[in-house]
Amino acid sequence: MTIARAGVDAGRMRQLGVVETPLVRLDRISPPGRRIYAKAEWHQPTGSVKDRIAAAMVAAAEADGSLAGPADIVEPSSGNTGIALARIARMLGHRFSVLIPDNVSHERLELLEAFGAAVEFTPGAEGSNGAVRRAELRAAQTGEVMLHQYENAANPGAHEATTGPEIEWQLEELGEGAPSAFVATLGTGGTIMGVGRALRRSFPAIEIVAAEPPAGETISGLRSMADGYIPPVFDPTALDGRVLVRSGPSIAMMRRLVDEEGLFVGPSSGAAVHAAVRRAAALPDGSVVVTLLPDAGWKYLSTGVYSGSVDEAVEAVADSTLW
Amino acid sequence: MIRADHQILEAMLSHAENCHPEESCGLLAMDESGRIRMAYPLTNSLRSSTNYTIEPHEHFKALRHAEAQGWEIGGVFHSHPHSAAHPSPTDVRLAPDPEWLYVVIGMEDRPVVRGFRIIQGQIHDEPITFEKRTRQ
Amino acid sequence: MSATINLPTILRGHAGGSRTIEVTGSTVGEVFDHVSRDFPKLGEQLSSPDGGLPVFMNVFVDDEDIRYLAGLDTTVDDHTEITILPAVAGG
Repeated sequence: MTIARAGVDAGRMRQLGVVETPLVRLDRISPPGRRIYAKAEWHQPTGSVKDRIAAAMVAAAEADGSLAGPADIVEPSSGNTGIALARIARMLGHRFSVLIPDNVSHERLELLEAFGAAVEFTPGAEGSNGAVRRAELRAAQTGEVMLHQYENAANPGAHEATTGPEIEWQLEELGEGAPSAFVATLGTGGTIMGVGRALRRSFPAIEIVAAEPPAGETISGLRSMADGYIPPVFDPTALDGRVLVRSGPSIAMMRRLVDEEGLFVGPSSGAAVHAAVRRAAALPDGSVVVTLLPDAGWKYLSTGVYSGSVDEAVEAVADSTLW
Repeated sequence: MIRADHQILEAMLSHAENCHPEESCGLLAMDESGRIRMAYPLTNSLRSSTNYTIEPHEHFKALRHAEAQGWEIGGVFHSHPHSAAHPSPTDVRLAPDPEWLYVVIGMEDRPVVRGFRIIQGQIHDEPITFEKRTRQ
Repeated sequence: MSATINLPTILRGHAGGSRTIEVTGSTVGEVFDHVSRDFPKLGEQLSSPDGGLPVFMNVFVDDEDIRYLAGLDTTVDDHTEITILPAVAGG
């Protein structure tokens, strides 16, 4: 099914490998009487939700001519977007460089290199902010194409065109009525903004809730350095709730998802479900909450979060960039 | 004398440049020795070139992040797009904490960064040394 | 029900220098009423002439801004952490 929304070519996205992901129900973790459904995004080609936005941003750049022939692309990323772009760049014959904080797990680096990306490290202490800032400086100097995932309309557009509609028809197939809330982790804001826009059209009363990591790991107050101000993807006034989820609860819930639901998810999935459970518990009996699980645990095995006690696991990732 | 890695200076300056012509703002986290360990670039919810208010949710996130590292929020930095690196009367009036470090980035010419204490309405210079360190 | 209130440095002086205080109440509003009773100067900082919170005072209950919850009617139970954050502003 091809949907044209926000100028995003869903057909081209599918050509680039984006798939419809399963909607799983969390039977054991949902508070009694409520149903939590989660999109399992590790089914995407490089194993994360970012495959959607990478495909959409590349498709949009092809459409507007900024990616005409083989090009040099640079993008800041804490991992998943970089990996997704590296794969597509490789497939299409573009050269791709990624700026990444130096405290990410080695699996991410190995995946980037496997897809032929050139890696430049930024100080871990600067988090994602540092990587974005340095990428903009570099692109301004070298003329490389930067897709600006934090400011690119094709980012939320991808979710408005694919993720949101998938959720709608999947809930319908399951015989579910209107969901009460959609809860997702906040990084660039693309998922929450794009899915939120799509779901609000069909379910005007739905609550859109963001689960956020503590500061130092997401972008704040950044403007584009390009001529003319391009508004960032994320608009806080569009949210109905913002929940801070720290490492401890994220990892605790991640481990519960592994142990109780048999879902081998990454840490940000733990954060999303932690926030989704909190929201569901505050809603009436019979309520449905939808969330999204960005990736699986493969890239994080070396960090030790899946072994030992939860406290040990939290300690193990204390200085890492996980989201 | 306050000390910090050079990266802290770079983070504050680039945030000021990124937000220009609006005032940029952010919080500073210090460790037990008083060294500035992190500059959190945050959103000016007023989006104004003459005033700033730190977005409360981001303030809260910065607080939690700092606490998790064993740091305390010990100061605030903001920029003056068209005036000097010195607290304005509004800055003095609204200064939230007499124990805090106030960093002002003056953008009227080339960017200048200065540190201050604001105690009972009086402004005192607080020099900051930004050190270039080799990576450990 | 007794909640823990995390105080910012600027307000600790009004609570004998404590960083946290334990106060009873089943909603944020009730907790703040009890704060006014036990620490009058602190209570003054938490109320405005119209009876609500001063506009520059931000309150978080277990990591959520009460503006997104039920405001002063937000329920509180044992182990709830209330964090008070005065706005940081200037010009």
